[in-house]
Amino acid sequence: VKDLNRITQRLAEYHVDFVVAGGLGTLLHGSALLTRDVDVACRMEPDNLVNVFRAFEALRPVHRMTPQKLPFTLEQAEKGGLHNLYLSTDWGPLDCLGEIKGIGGFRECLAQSEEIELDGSLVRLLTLDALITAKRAMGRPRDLHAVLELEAIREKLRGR
Amino acid sequence: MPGPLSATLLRVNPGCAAAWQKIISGYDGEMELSETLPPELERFWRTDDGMTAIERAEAYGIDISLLVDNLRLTPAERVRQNDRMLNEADALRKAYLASRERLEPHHATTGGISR
Repeated sequence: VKDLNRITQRLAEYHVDFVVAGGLGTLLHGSALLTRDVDVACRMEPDNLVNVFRAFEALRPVHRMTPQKLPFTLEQAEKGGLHNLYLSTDWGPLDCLGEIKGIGGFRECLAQSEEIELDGSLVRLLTLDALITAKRAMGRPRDLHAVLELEAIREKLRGR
Repeated sequence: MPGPLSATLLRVNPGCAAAWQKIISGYDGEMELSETLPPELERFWRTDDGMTAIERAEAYGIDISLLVDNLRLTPAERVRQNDRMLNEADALRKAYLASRERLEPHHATTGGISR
């Protein structure tokens, strides 16, 4: 069962440094597009990856891009050196990204983020402008629909 | 005109090709998806077409009323709505496959795809 809300809350509960981006960010800003995973810009230092591990260790986290679905272990988190982390968990996929195209690394994402409340948890979300910039930088066909929705939402909000 | 690409935002897990090495080196699995934008839609990337953003989205086929509905929800409600729709779609898909399995065992096991 997909539970993207709980994945995001879990990250916050375990004090992971992250900024919501990608399809979930698009959705949180009001897009009607569905998304199946949680994409976050993440500080990829070992201490933060250990927090990611602690947050999801009970939810059978595996590297979903590996053919054998290898488990994500504490040793890997402590060792660091990961640029991105593509996990599958019992609650759904989680992508921890070291960099967001068009924006930069975690620090740059943090500087272009805003705080929102999700069922009692405070999480950081890329601003609408930053998300549009990121989606335009990605430039894939599927990003176009998201860009058009986000720009329409921005216009709506400004017109209020 | 319906939104031609809405289905593609549902992440398709490429799954099989990436190896451990690629994860460590910062490989982005999404880039393996082959996607081609029809030439007639390329113009929608531009913002110098004299249209407002809302007009451009509507011309592309986006239903603005859905966005307006979503803006009335809290962020948490938007995620819950997404999760509910995904889980219902998964349940429907499983029910469909189970039904095919009962009626046509061969089609169900191949996902209905001829090999």
